[in-house]
Amino acid sequence: MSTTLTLKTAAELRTTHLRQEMFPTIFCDGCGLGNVLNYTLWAVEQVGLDLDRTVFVSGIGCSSRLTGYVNADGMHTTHGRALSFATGIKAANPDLNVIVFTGDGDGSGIGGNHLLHTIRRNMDLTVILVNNFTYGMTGGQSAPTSPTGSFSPTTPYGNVEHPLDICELAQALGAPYVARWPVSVPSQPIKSIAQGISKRGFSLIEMMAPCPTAYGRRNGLRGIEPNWQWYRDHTVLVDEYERVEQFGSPEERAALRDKMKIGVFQDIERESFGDRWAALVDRVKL
Amino acid sequence: MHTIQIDERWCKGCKLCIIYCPTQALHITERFTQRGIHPPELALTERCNGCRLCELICPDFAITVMEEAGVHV
Repeated sequence: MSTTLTLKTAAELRTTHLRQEMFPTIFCDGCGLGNVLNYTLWAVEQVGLDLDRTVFVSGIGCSSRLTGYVNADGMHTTHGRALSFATGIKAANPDLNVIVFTGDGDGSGIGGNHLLHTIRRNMDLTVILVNNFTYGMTGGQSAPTSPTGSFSPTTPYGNVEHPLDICELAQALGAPYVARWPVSVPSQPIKSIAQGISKRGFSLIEMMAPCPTAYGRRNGLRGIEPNWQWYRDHTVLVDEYERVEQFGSPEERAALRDKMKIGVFQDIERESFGDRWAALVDRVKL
Repeated sequence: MHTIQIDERWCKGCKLCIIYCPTQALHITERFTQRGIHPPELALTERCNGCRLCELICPDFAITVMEEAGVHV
């Protein structure tokens, strides 16, 4: 951890990377979105990105407020279409670094189709998808990622649908970098986001953030500590998951049923849209 | 020796720093800030080992951990 923090103190990071007049943030007590912004800025600092050459793009939702707090150019776009706008920015200006903040409702529900096709094209974007299992800003309706049996105003007797695993979807489509981390651990997401920014091609970092206001209180998690503790109790590292799947006893394997895998799922090299486009332009040039 | 500076304009009193402090060096104060919340403070200075976890876990960018200069003089 010390290597992460020797660069700057938090006070220096605040003065250089944040729009101070926008603070304090609008997020509720115990929300993990502030942490996502915090980790992203540490990663940006670690990689040494020039903020004047970086664009932050977001759609609609709580998570999409994050672009307004960063002292860089940003776009707050229409619902679910953050990835389309980001694709346009990257295609027109391949030199810019594009970081997308999106939520689970925004990125996988309303904009699910755009997610598929941006991964398929392998645009050189870093997508930080904040998953809080609900549509938090509009009152906590059930989202595509809401676990089976969870309660919300639209599923008052429990959700009957199966949730969408965004990371598995991205892996299946061949995204070069896929990782998932809860916000309750700081160092691993910082490292993952830094790797994602450095990666050429599409990188997806799913951050699991608690929503005590819209999700937690309806699902037996009252107060901030139980909400944050839930992620410690219900996640398992992907290496540990695979070890137990292969060598574990039946009881150990049964205990894995209600746990979500976290860790880096995919880290491969694949030619990005930008590279292929540049090659095409070279080939057909008059 | 470390000191912890808390920006009381930004702190929402969510107590995540207190929950995650590995040495339990922070505690909540009795007084109110302008926002009407009880801010945390470094109660046990000798227990703080400067791990800076509170600084990283703070969702509101309100905490700065500083190493006190001039200790070795």
